[in-house]
Amino acid sequence: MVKGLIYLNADLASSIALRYVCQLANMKGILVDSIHVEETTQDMHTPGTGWVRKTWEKGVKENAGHKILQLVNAEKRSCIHLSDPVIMVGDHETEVKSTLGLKTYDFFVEGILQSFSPLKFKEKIFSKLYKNISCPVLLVKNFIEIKKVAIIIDQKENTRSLTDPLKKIIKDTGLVCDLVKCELNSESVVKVEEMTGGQDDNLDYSKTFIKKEAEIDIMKNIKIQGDPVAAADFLHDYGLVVIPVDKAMSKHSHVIDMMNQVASALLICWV
Amino acid sequence: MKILIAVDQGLYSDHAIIEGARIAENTWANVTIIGVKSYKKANESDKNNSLIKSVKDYRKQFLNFFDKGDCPYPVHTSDYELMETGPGVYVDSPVLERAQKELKTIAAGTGDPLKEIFVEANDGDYDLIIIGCTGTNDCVWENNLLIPQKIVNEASCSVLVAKDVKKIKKVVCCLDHSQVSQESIEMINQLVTFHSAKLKIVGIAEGDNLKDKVENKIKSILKYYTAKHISTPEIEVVAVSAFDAFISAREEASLLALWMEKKSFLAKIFSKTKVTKLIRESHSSVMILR
Repeated sequence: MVKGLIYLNADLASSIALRYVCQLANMKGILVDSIHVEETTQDMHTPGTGWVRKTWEKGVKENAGHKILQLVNAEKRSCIHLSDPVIMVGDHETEVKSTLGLKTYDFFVEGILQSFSPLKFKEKIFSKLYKNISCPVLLVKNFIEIKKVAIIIDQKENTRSLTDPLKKIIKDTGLVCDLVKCELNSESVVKVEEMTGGQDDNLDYSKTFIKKEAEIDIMKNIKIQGDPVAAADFLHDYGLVVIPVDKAMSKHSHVIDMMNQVASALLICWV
Repeated sequence: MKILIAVDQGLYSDHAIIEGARIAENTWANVTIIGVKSYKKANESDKNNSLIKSVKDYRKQFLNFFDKGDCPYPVHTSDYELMETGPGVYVDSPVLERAQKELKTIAAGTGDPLKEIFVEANDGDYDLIIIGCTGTNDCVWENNLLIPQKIVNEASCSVLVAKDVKKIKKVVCCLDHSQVSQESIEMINQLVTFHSAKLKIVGIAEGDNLKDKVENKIKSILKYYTAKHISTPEIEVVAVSAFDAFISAREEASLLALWMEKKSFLAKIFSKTKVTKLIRESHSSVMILR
């Protein structure tokens, strides 16, 4: 069975992300584990070792765990494959990486509120955790009912990074999948073209490759030309946007700007 | 709920009547249409007849919005008249017709429109004032009167400035506090429903993150929509420092609704001058929710 790990805080972003992943889990029968890491800061006087340390950690976990457990319990009725959260004390990145390594998770989930400023989004995408993570990341911004999926394609060789996540998460869900090739520029007026076979080599190749490797039928091949805001606006109707991302990509690229503007959820497949 | 629709004899007042009828239809509000005149004729031989006629026409226009069998408001008989109750002020004559909701009409031709509107607004304890205005890079009444801006700045209840522009595709509601009434949420729902628009809730953040009380309020709004099986609104966070840029960048076909509370950032950011600028420059309707 497909397994996802969701990181939770007692906040709105996590609440939205949990609802969203449960929507997906119910479509596909995905097992969802959840964790929360109560971070120790430099100002905290953490006791050293042994029984005292363990007692202190237990207290911290209990305090933090209560709200997280409330969050999870609120969704459990409608999300049958959701397990009880694991609460840890320590460094967020270290504990998440360690948890991801313990079991083979097919994807990692986090919530982030849509923001007018791109700073927080870029901080997350270019964080140490994301730099070192190997499984795809589902970054959820808003709870939007998933009816259609946009699969973003760029270079042919990057399509390979999409097929495994698509097969595990999207195949057999009945969701309509469109291939979208984004040619991003500074033009605020977006041009959208539906391409038929033979019109775009890249789209044709990707369609065939995804059908063969992920066993998913593509409904439409679409080409968008425009600025990142206009492109993200076009993607507004898609409940999920699947996108290949090169970890070496520049923070200032049009693709990152477009990803920041997408209002629903991004399934980031690392190239 | 009580709605006051303030009209004069300008074409933009038609839009205020339609928006008022739409909201009233879905909220079952008691409605008053107040017609005002922006000047006092030196020659009073008109005796406000043209204003009274306009108010009667607006009343008909309001009632025409409803299907004959479904109208909750009194549909007067042909002998319906307005009676003079004071110098230049005319109100409905008493009628014996029973109706589920109240529809009152007032023609106040004293030449001091602002005073008449505020006297009625304060006496009648209204929840919402609806007012139309010119829509093209301006928001005034005939003779360039800044009536809409003054109503927005000085009313103690919510105000909808209805501009006669393109269809609304999105309603963008901004809040930075937790004092959001159920009635104001219902009003927003009605706007979203009859425009078939999408809804976005924008939380204004002082620093990087929303205050807990604002987050909790947004959570409760989301729960409300989930419970009603209505499409969940989008959420966006905008820092106070970026709010002006956000307002300028929003789509043309969107209605902006600001939940303003006395101590809120929005009330500080939106000084009277800025509110005036906002409603003047906005391409679409603006709602101030109080």
